[in-house]
Amino acid sequence: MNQALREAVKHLFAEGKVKSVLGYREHPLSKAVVATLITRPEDADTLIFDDRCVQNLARGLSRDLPLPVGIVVKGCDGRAVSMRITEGDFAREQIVAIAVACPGVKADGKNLDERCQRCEMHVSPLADVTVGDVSALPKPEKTRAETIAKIKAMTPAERFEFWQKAFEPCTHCYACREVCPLCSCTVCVTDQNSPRWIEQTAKPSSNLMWHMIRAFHHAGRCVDCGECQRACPEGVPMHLLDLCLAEDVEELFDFKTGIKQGGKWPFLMFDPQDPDSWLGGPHRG
Amino acid sequence: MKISRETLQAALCKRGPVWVPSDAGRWTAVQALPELGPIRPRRPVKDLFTPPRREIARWKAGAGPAEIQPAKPDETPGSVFGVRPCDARALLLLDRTFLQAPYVDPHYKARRDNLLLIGVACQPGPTCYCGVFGFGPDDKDAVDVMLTPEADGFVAQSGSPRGQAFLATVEAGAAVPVAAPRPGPKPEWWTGLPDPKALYANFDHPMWRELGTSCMNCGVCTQYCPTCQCFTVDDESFKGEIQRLRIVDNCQRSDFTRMAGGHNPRQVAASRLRQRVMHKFSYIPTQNPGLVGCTGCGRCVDLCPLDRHLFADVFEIMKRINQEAERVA
Amino acid sequence: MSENFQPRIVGFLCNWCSYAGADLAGTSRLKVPANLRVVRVPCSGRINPLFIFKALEEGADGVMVSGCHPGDCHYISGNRYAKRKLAVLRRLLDWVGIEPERIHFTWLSASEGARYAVEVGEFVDKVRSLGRRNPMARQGVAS
Repeated sequence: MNQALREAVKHLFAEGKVKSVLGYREHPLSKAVVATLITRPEDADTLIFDDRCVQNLARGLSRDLPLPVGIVVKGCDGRAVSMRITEGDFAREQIVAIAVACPGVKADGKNLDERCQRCEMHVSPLADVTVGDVSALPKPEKTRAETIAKIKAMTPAERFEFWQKAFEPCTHCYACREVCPLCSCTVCVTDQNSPRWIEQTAKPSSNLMWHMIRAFHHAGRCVDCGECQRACPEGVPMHLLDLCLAEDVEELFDFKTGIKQGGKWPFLMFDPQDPDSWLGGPHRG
Repeated sequence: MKISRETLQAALCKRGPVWVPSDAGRWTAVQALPELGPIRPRRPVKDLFTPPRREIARWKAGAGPAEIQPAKPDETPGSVFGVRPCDARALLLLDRTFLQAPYVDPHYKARRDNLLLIGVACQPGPTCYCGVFGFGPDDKDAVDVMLTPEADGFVAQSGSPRGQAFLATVEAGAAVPVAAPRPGPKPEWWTGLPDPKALYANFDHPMWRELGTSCMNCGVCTQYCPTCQCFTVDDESFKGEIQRLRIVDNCQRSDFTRMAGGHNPRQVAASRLRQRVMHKFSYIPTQNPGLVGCTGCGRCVDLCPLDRHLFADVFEIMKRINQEAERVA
Repeated sequence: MSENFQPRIVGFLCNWCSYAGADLAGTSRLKVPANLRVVRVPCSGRINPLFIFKALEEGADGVMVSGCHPGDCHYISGNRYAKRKLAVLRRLLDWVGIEPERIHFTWLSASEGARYAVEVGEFVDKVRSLGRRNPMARQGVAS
């Protein structure tokens, strides 16, 4: 895989299709897998792809980089890049997607990540170049609905209690926001103080406000890469709330994030057939 | 001197609240001394001195001038059990900011004056680097009392006059010989601290951008760093009662240097990483000879969600600078 | 205790239909509970979910949003966008554990003064029967 990836990248440089490539490399000193930007074809020999490549590189995309920029993408990462193109952050021609056949990654080095067990899209839907064998990729072991079933079965009081406990360790460090590839607002709602929508200090009410608003901002935009939860130094399971809303968006609007490029996000459009029944009543499992 | 756990516990509880690291690594007041892990907890001990959120003043909105009630510094006597040398040394750095005349922070001073620091020696882990900064896991210079865990209690040494006075009040066990302090660990590839002036001279080196590519500026390193001390002031209100707060800030946030009018000198992500490295390894040593803005606790390495290694960054950039200097010479 | 509990409800009414409908209820001397505090917005499409979250956080026991009937929006389609936003908003509040009975979304036209009075009355009663503050409400300035 590494060899095929390196060849593909060198080829892209040789054809002038990219001026830089975002990929993964093994740090020579710490031996951990880190993100890297290469601007010369000979540096492609440092690129790797294996089940340690957990990070979502789409977060590192910025218009400061020498464009067009190639980016090594797993399935989830590619959907994030696709969304950023849909949302107008980048023009399609500025990105060259190097899709790798990803069998799933292991953040702890031993077990397949929870999100990978659910993954239905091991290869990026946005792919200019594909590397690896896409025919032999695993099927999902469980569904998103199963993951959120326990919350669906709870009463309102139980749900509230669950989230209060889940969000209690939150310190408002906003690491979840910084690592999310879709958190791209120039001025985040948390940084606005006229009016102050979300208080900056940690307490039950502001922790809930932050995570609810974060989830709402990601409704229909989250690609289930799970970086938010992995980045959280206190182990807050905020990604679970994103999954709950992802179920709703898919059910209501038949929209799967980042699969098609272009087109409109469901909140930017409407269908005259949208039923009024959406507006009323509880949502029970 | 030897001291049993029960004796120590009783003596500390008599003083007042005893702060210890909880299972989740946060500082909590308890009645019973817990078993500690081998190294520092997740949250640094600075939380007790520069907490994430501290009230400075409060007042009520309404007609007429507001009556501002400044918050009273907390002078409750107490102690902190389980302070590691890296966290304690970091407090010395914070002292330079918050205890230096003419601007002494009364809240910080009140806690420093009233909380006894009971250090506990470490069994260093793979990301512990106190040796880089010239001290080790038994260092007692920044705590009041340093304890070395033993089978049936601790061996206690005093690290300060205040610690000496405390130990004098405790039922002493037998005096025992104290082992020589162990050297502190360093990364195997480490060759030395960077030259602060050479770092600064290379402020515009293109390598900063390379290093910055793998950093997402999530700010976790800053959030958990025992020496980071930047803060901001913000108001919170509810139904007409307003509270002015001192809140911990984070230089990795994209808006940290954004000014009214929109200009932001550190808009580019790599510039914020550079700022962090420069502040700790160049500006602080230059302005405070003998001090470095880091104590090698290793939390930044453990907690980085992108598996970066801040020490490796520092090492790599110095290596590059030195190589280029040699080529020129 | 529940008879003495007076819920405080924030109502976001669109200027053209719903607010006019509320006004008609007033001029027709219909009884509308004073528990509802009205915030007039130009269109239901103006509703930022933050308004509703904030109302709940500041202590509202219930929140109501009313716009023009789909097809009748003064700005043609603002209410259609609102429908999608509010649909997901309702689901989010439900996931978080805010009782769904505390949130009421409806369409009211300028001529439906009587219906406004009835709907508000019913909603207030429903919230009153929940008998306590919404769990999201802030308690005060923290110490």
